[in-house]
Amino acid sequence: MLAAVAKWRDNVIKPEENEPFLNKGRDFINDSLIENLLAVNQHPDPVRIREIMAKALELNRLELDEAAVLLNCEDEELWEEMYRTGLQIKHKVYGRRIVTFAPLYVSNYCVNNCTYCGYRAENKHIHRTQLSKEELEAEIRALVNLGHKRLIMVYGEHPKSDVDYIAETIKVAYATKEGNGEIRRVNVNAAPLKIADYKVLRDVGIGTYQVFQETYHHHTYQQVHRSIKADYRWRLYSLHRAMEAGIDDVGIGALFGLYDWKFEVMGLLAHTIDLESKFGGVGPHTISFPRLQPAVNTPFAEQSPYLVDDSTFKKLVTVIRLCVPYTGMIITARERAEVRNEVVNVGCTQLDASSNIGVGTYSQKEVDYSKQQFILGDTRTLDETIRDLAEMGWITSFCTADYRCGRTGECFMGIAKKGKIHNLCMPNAILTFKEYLLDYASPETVRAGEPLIEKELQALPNPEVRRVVREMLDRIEAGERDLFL
Amino acid sequence: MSTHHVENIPAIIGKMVRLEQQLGAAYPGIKLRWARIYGRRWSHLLGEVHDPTAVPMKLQINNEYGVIIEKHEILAMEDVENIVGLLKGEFGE
Repeated sequence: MLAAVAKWRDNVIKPEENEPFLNKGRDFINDSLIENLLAVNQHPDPVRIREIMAKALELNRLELDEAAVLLNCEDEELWEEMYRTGLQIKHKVYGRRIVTFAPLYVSNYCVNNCTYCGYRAENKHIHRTQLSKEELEAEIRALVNLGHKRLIMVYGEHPKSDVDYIAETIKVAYATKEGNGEIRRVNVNAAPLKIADYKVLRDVGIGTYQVFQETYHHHTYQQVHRSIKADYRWRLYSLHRAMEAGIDDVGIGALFGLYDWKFEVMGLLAHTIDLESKFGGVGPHTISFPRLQPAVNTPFAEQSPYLVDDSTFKKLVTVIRLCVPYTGMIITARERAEVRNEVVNVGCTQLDASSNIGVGTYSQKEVDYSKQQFILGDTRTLDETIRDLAEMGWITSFCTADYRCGRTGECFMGIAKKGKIHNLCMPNAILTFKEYLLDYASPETVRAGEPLIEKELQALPNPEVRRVVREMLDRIEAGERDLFL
Repeated sequence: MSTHHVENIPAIIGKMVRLEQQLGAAYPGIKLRWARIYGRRWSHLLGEVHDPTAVPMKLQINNEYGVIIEKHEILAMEDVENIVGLLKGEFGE
């Protein structure tokens, strides 16, 4: 490790901030326990599987042994039942809406050397760049002009993209307006931070903070990570520290393909359980499950022995849905369109669209693999994605109301766990979808989308809410924007 | 209660509980939720959503705190003005 990086690392990692969260000095991933649970629950009884499905359908979070039972299911007919249950859960909690966002890569400088990642420091085939204020404004305007309202801003781990840089870029994102549009919620995917740094991001009003553990398996983690990211616990407890700092919406994730998929699903559940136990029942706001994808000059990404095929991917997404019925689930454009259309129907709640993951490439309207962390599978435009979803019966939502109405953390979870958040999601989906159709949609998408608005409006259970939403729709037609419940 | 992030939390929460009782007595039926404001983000502090099918009223007290009122339909405009005045007096402009 270069001396400068080592010095910087010492100022970033504060192991003492993890200590209050440890369980008698140990972290919450017990590899042996997970492996044992997977081993002893092989060839599960169908009766037991159906009992667990019923528990999930009642919106109860599963325990690790129950997850192991589902993961070991070998009966394809039972898997079909699980797919249907996943969809039922999704409808029950969130309704027939899919939240849509765009990723915005802000800086691809990185000190790490993760074997699987195109941005690893030693990859000389990557063109390194970081957005200036003016370049960032151009990117935001390009995204707003597509119709986006929600971003996940992504940063490599590097002194150039420290917390002050991240905070400044978030302020720019919120301040940049274009026509009727603006970015209303900025989520962040960046490196683990110390508590004081999380407070800086809290104060600029971020949405969700995401840190993916990549792999929960200790040994594999050490094998594929070098430099600052090699500190397993610093990453594992990053979101505990974020919550401690007051960022009460956090997103967890695992990168499928680094280790056994069943182990990783158990890891995600163990992470959820530990957050809930330490923060009064508040676990992750979202769970992500990216699959390893090809990247420039990164052979590991195509040679890992743990790559997950499409059929297995659908199963793992389904089990995550059943394990944590009330949490948002994100399926990204890493996946091909047909895969996304398939797994949306087992319980995903959010997806990105029109994604361009090179740094600075939205405004340039180009695709440049040399600026990308990996290669995308779904390159549909936002308009095409929305139309496809509409034809499948899903209404696209650009809703950002919850975090602007105090429905965060414990409050949000309280509503979601009771299966009542759809009472807010669906009206806000209708309102934001209407804005999109008026301001950005193609005539074909308007034709596909307008009937959905009327259908979902009629389906709202509370007549007073229906009246208020109809009144708001009229105001949107008349030119007002950003109306929400 | 999500209070890890608020300095001097016992005093703030104590004040919120007292105001909730005071306003609840003056305007029976209304329900309050409290939030700490960080830019666009209103982070949950105290209270809960009692009726997610209801349309709430959102009032910003100052740059730091906001309150969300359920069952605000029972309030006249003058009542709302009185509530805002009371809260601004307690928390500062």
